[in-house]
Formats: sequence, structure tokens, C-alpha cells
Amino acid sequence: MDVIIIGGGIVGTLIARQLSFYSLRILLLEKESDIAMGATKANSGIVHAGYDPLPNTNKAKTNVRGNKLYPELCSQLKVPFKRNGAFVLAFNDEEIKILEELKERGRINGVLGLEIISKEELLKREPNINPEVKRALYVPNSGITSPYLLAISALENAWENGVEVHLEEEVQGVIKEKGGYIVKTNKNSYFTKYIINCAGINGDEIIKMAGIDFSFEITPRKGEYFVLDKKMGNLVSSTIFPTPTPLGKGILVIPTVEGNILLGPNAQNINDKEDKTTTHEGLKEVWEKATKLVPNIPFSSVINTFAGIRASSNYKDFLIEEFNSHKGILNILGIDSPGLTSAPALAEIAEEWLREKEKLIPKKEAKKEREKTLYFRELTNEEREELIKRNPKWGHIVCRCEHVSEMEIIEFIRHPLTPKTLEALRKRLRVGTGRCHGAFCTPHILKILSKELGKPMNSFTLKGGNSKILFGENKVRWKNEKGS
Amino acid sequence: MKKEVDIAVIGGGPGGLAGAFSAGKRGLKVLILERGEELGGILNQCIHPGFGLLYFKEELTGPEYAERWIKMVEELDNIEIWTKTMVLEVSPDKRILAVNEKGLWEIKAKAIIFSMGCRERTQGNLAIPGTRPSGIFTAGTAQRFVNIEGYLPGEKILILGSGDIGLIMARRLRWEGAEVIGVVEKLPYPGGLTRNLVQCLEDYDIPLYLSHTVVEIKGKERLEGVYIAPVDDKGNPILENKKYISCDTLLLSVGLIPENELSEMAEIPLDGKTGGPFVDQFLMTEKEGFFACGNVLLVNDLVDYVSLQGLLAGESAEKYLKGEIKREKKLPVKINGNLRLVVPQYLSYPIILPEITFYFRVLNPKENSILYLKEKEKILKTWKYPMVKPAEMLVIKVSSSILENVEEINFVLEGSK
Ligand SMILES: Cc1cc2nc3c(=O)[nH]c(=O)nc-3n(C[C@H](O)[C@H](O)[C@H](O)COP(=O)(O)OP(=O)(O)OC[C@H]3O[C@@H](n4cnc5c(N)ncnc54)[C@H](O)[C@@H]3O)c2cc1C
Ligand SMILES: Cc1cc2nc3c(=O)[nH]c(=O)nc-3n(C[C@H](O)[C@H](O)[C@H](O)COP(=O)(O)OP(=O)(O)OC[C@H]3O[C@@H](n4cnc5c(N)ncnc54)[C@H](O)[C@@H]3O)c2cc1C
Repeated sequence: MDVIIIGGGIVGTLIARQLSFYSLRILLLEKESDIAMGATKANSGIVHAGYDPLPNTNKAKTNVRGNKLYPELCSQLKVPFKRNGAFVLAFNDEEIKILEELKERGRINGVLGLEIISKEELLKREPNINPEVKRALYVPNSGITSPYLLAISALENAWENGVEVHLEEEVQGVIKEKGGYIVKTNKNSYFTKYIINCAGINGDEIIKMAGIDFSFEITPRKGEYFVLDKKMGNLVSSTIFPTPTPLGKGILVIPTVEGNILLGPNAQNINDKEDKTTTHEGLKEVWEKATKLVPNIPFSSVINTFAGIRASSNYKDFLIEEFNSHKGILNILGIDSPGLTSAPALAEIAEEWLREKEKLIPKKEAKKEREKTLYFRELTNEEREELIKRNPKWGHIVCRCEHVSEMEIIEFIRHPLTPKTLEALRKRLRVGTGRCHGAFCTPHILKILSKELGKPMNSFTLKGGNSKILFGENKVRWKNEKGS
Repeated sequence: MKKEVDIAVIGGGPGGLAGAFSAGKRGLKVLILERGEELGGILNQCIHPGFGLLYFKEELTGPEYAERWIKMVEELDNIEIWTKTMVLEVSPDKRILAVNEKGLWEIKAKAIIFSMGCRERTQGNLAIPGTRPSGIFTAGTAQRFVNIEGYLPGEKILILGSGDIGLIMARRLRWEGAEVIGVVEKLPYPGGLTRNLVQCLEDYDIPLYLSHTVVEIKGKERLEGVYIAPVDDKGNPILENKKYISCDTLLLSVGLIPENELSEMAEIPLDGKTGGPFVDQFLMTEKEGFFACGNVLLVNDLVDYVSLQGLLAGESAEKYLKGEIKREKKLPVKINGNLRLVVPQYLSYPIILPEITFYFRVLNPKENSILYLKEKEKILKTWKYPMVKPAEMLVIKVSSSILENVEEINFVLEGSK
């Protein structure tokens, strides 16, 4: 291989795409059953403007650059992106002072259009906000996207351009060799000239594996969320922030591109990197703080909760480093917030890094644009009618909440990069993410999977491993007991 | 594609079947729209007996009960049936957008009967802390897997919520050889019908933990266990007393929500208490020409009532088309004391119908209860109940002559602990 990318989060997938435009042999390794299973799956989905990071840090630079790259990137990859704007609320004089500081920091970082507005102006634009608010910082450049759809589309694009992708393959060893490295996984060994380590929360382990002498430690910080029913979609149209504190950006009220509202995240240092549990205390904190920004949210509008883990590190800033002792390994680590926003800029940095080492020859047949995936719920009635004529399965709606047809599911199942799990289909098609939580569609989807792949319904899992959904056929145990 | 009918019935469960039959029998051109592969609604997966005792005076299974109605409907040539057809939108001017494998349909109806049934409350609605593994199902989905698809959802099962579906699934899974560890109920009294408590739990020695709830989910991939804890008088869990229960499956039977997304699209006002539209004695919603019956109107515990509501909705739809429903005056039906909800929520005058059926649910279980029908301080009628329970609907009939000239309709339920 020329390049091995470790980690299929937003950073790894966008780097894979960026490098796929050149004649290189690239392999992306991801240990989970699907890509975008780490921080990229569970975050706020905000494309931050960039007033928050301290000037001249990697965070500030990549954030502002990333924000600029988003509209074109999402339009090429046919992923939803919306500049919905944001408001940072101040409830007292001290907080107003901080808004001034943020505005100034934003100016230094190169963020355009920041403006401090009055309570009246704010309530005119966002009438559901707590009327005790005093002022707000208006951030026109703030946006929202779907982090996992972006990662999925970027990687599918890279794959169409020739990048190899191996799922359920965990890097377990990195050994220095003449002219490169041997990368050992649970399944294979590969020789590669270059490695890009963007293994998220586990990136420090890769550093250790490779024998790099650098004291870098990731301290996982969990963030918990509520998801509200689409019925609440009109609650706010911009992203609503409290005034930040030294501890972080705080708990927000966030519209999503799908039309739901998220409340969260809190910030909890944890010991276990896999601990994605939600907690009583955490959810309580999120609820209390979010409803301080936007009061009167009925608890019955909650349709889900989840948690994500930030790869915060002792380095504070993003670590973007090639160590002298280990030339050829680019580490892009400690990518906590605003990593989603910065990822397109990080991909550019990775490309420039490689360009200094190798002559990058553009691949003629490589594509930047993707064809739009057709979603029944987004089509006009004429388009729907046309598709049903071509294939009646477009007219069989399997997901009652998100209006997903059988044909959409079949097309995704047939894509080689789609894992044959329920969660992979959820991420790609939203089946099972609506108000019925999959109660209606799960049997239908298992049936379609079973028919497409010729395997019984109980052979499928939620998210790989031991997460099977159904046990045996009825009476199996019964029969066994009677037989013995 | 376009289509025009007199009556469109949305949902082909027992409510919709009765509504269609009743309108069809009166010679109207009826179209049933059902998203499932077959008519019958939720009854198709309720293979236990216990249906039809009131209406047919026989104990039938769910599919048998549905079959009788399907036959009655199929015998009428003026009823058209479209299955595998999903209604996507309903507009306030009675246009329906539906889709099936033949195409996309714009259906114009003179009157619409809503009979979309209800859906179950889910894990997401409860926001139980912990992990999010596989192995958590609503009881109805588990019922579908076992009874229709022929697969077991798990082997070591805990049930949260003592609603009827959960109770019935406890017995069903036991029959299939699974271990049912128990049923956990947050309230101090069970949520299901007494007959189901006896026949599904007591007969099988399945324990019922009242005043308890699940407070945490464990297991990264498949469910490995849960913590349950007792709750205080206000329903808040006492976490210090939580205890671990190992199980691979959690079934949720924690309530039903009438499925009114379409009614909302048609701008029909909903009653926060029933979760269904406000209706009058004709089961006509606030928007004229829209009717509701069955679980989309209020969650029923017996299918026979659903069928009766369907019959009335079909009959009323004809009255509406003939211009017989006047709505010259509207009188709210008030409830007080131990009553939680009532259907119909108001009466339209002139009443026309000879008698009116009222459906109630109570707030708390109480003995020796008396239901009063009052006009101001005057008692018009009383009914006596040795025992009332939230799980069991109260159903009464009142002759219209009593209500024709009143200024107030006030039902009050009083009883002792
Ligand atoms: C709660 C929360 C909210 C956030 N909100 C925002 C926001 O609104 N806006 C924003 O810009 N940013 C936000 N972020 C930050 C953003 O989500 C992350 O910076 C970004 O997703 C990081 O992407 P990544 O590719 O570095 O990591 P990940 O997405 O975690 O990807 C790393 C991948 O590497 C894989 N991997 C690990 N070890 C190995 C191995 N040994 N072998 C193979 N594969 C391996 C993992 O399985 C994982 O898939 C938020 C983060 C969190 C947690
Ligand atoms: C497990 C269980 C056990 C029960 N046990 C008993 C018992 O022992 N005895 C008894 O008397 N009663 C029992 N009941 C209650 C009884 O079955 C229900 O009250 C009755 O089925 C409700 O009828 P319905 O027509 O209102 O709704 P449903 O039967 O739910 O029918 C609604 C129909 O509408 C369709 N639909 C919804 N939305 C759309 C749309 N957008 N487009 C097209 N179609 C749509 C659905 O597919 C469904 O077929 C039980 C119920 C359950 C769930």
C-alpha cells in the first residue's frame, strides 16, 4: 500500500476521499462493523463558525477554513448542509462581556458577520427563547449537517475512486520497516509507505503501538443528548448556545438537518473509552440547562437519548504531527470539538503533507461529484410516480415515520460498503429513527434483508458482534427439551 | 393517479372494517386504505382467545374475529379494498395522498373515517439511562415476531409495564419455552385487565413487581441485564435500592398512543387526555365530515367497542352526507371526581340519535363507586360499580331524551379507596 488510513470517522473518510483523486493505493481500516461509529456518529452536527477557539491554534485555523469548505463539499457529496445561523445567549452583564470577547476573538480568527443583538431582535427571530435573556451574539456562518451521512458519502466516493475499505479490521501493531511500516490487524498484515493515524479516541494507543516516544494521552469526555420528535422542529431554527465557560461550549438546543431537535451535550470526564451510557444525572443536567435556554419543552416530545465521546487530550489543541523518529506517520489526534467542522481542512493538510513526500499524480477517472441518492420522502409526487412505474417496490412504504420505501432499503443493502446491520441502515436511511423507534419497520427490514441475502431473519444484528436481534425459531428450545 | 369516493376509510383494522361495512351497507361508495398486507389490523397478531364476547357472544381469537368482519365487508360490491397502501397525507379539504405498488394516488372523498389505530410507547419515549444494545422491543413488535414471523425475540425475558399486550406476551413466550423473569410496573396497581393478570401471570407463577421501574440498561451489544428500583409515591425511582436482574430481552408494554399524525395534518383538534380527536355523539371530529373510531379515537380495551364505534362512524357519515347533522348548538361533556377522560367530549344538538354511548377511563382504582350524571346540582341518573380500575373502560348508554333539554352535562364519579 501507499497509504493506510487508520480510522473511519469523519477525519479518516474525508482524508481517504481527498487522496483518492490521485494515483495512490490507499486502504482505510476501521475496527467497527461500520464507519462513523465513534465521535462521528454521536455529536451535535454543528458546522461551527470559529469564534470560539483561541487565535492561532490548529483548532482556530482549521475551524474557519473547514467552515468555508462545507457548502461545496456537501453539494459535491449530496449531503444536507444548512447555514441556519446561531445565537449565543447572555443572561447577565458578565455574560454580555464574554459575548464581546467572543466577537473580538472571532474577528481575529477571521469569522465574518458576528453581531451583538438586542433581546427584542432575538425574540423576533427566535420567539421560543427564554424571555429573561439580555442579549445575544448572532453568528450567521454557523451551519448544520449530518455527520455520518457526510462520512458515508465521502467514503463511498473514495471507494468509487479506488480506495479499499476494510471494516471490522482493527490495527493491533505498527512495525517500522525499511521504506515504510508493517501494519498488523486482527485479520492481516500490510506493508505501507505511509500511515495516517486518525483513530479518534484510540489514537494514543496507535502512537504507543508504533513506539513513538511522546507523552500524549486522550481523556475521554462524554456528552449526552435528548432527541425530540420532528413535531418540535419549529422550536428554534438557529442553533442556540449559552455563553461558554472555561469548561466548554455548554448545553445547546440544536436543530438537525433531518428536522428533529437535539438537546445537549453535557461534558463528563470518563475512564472507559467505550462508555457510551446515558446516566440519570447527565440527562437531568441536559434537560435543566437546555430548558433554561428554551423553556416549555414537553418531556413527551423526547423520542430518544444517546451519548458520544470526545477525544480530548492533554495537548489541548488538535495534534497534527509527524514525529522525527517515525517519518511517514501523520498523526491527526485529539480531535474533539470542532473536529467535524475542521475535518475538510484536516484533509487538505494531509494532502499537503503527502505532496511534500510524493509526486501526487491526479487520477483522470476520479470523480468529486456523487449522484444524488433518491429518498422517497424528498421526492416530488411526479418523481415518485415515475420511480414506482419503473419498480413497484418504490411504492411499498416500509418505514411509517420517515416514509422509506422497500426499494431504497434494497439499494442500500446491495451497496458493497453497507454493512448488513440494522444500525447501518438506520444511519443511511433513517429507518427506525422516528417516533416509533423501529417498532413498525424492524420486522419488515429483517424480512427484506433475509430475502436479499438468502439468510434467516435471526442471523442479522443491530450493530455487528453479538448484537443479534432475534433468537431461534419458535419452539426451538421447547423441542430440544422435549427431545432430550 | 386520481380517484373519487363517497367515504374513504383510513386503516383496515376492526374499527375501519366496521366503519366501511356500516357505510357500505347504506349504499355508499367506500374505499378502505390499509398499509398492511391484509385487513384486520392488530388483530392478526393476537392469536389468543378473548375477542367478541360482547358483539358475537362467543369467544374468538383475534384473527377469527377479524375474519368475520372481513367477510361482511367483502360481500358488499360497493366497498373497494386496497391493502399495502400507505396514506401519506390528508388535507383539510378531504384530499388523501396515498401510495402503493401501482403508484401515487390522490383520492377525493366526501367524508373520511379515521381508524389508524395506535402505536406503542417506546424505549426512546422512556429515556431509560444506560447502554443501547439489541434486545429491547415493544411488546407488540415482539408479538409480531413470535406470532407472525415465527421467531423468538430472546430467551430470558423481563417485561416493563403491565399493559395487556405485555401480560399476553408473558404467557405466550412462556409457552414458547422462554424464561419470563417477571413483570415490572411503576404504578401501585396493574395496567392490564384482571382476566389477563390471572390467566397470563398467576397461572404461570410469573411475579409482578408493582411500584418498581427499570432504571438502567446494561450490555454493549446484546442486552445483558437491567437494574430495577422501587419508586416513591410520586413515581420517582429510589436509586439506592436498585437491584440487578440478568436478562437478554426487555419487552416494553408501557402504553399506547393513538396514531393521529394524519388527523393533525388535516388540522383536526386533538384532546390531550385521549390523544384522539375531540368528537361529538356522531363520532364526528371538530372538522365536519371527518370521523374517528377505534384506537385512534381513544385506546380501547375490548375490540367489541371498537367495532361499535366503527358502525356508528359509518352510519354518521351517511347522515353527514345527507345533511342531517346540524350542530346548531354544542354542549361540552364535563367530567369530575375520579374520571380521567370521556368520549364523546361534547354533544351536538339536535341529538337525532335515540341513545348515546359514553366511554370513560378512571384516574384511580376505587371500590363502591357511583357515577352521577348531573345537570348543575340536579342528579339525572346514577350507575353503581363495586370496583373501578384505570385498566378497564367504563361504558354507559344514556337515552337522548334525558339530555335533549339540559343546560349542562356533568359526569361525576365518586368512590371509596
Ligand atoms: C458530544 C460531541 C459533540 C460534538 N459536537 C461537534 C459539533 O457540533 N461540531 C463539530 O465540529 N465537532 C463536534 N464534535 C467533535 C467531532 O464529532 C469530532 O471531532 C469528530 O467526529 C472526530 O472525528 P474522528 O474521525 O477524528 O474520530 P472518530 O469519528 O471517533 O473516528 C475514529 C475511528 O477510528 C476507529 N478506530 C479506532 N481505533 C482503531 C484501530 N485500532 N483500528 C482501526 N480503527 C480504529 C474508530 O472505531 C472510529 O471509527 C463533537 C464531539 C462530541 C463527542
Ligand atoms: C396484544 C393485544 C391484545 C389484545 N387483546 C384483546 C382481547 O383479548 N380482547 C379484545 O376484545 N381486545 C383486545 N385487544 C384490543 C383490540 O385488538 C384493539 O382495540 C383493536 O384491534 C383496535 O382496532 P383499530 O381498528 O382501532 O386499530 P388497529 O387494529 O390497530 O388497526 C389500525 C389499522 O390502520 C392501519 N393504518 C394506520 N395508519 C395507516 C396509514 N397511514 N395508511 C394506511 N393504513 C394505516 C394499520 O396498518 C392497521 O391495520 C388487544 C390488543 C392488543 C394489541
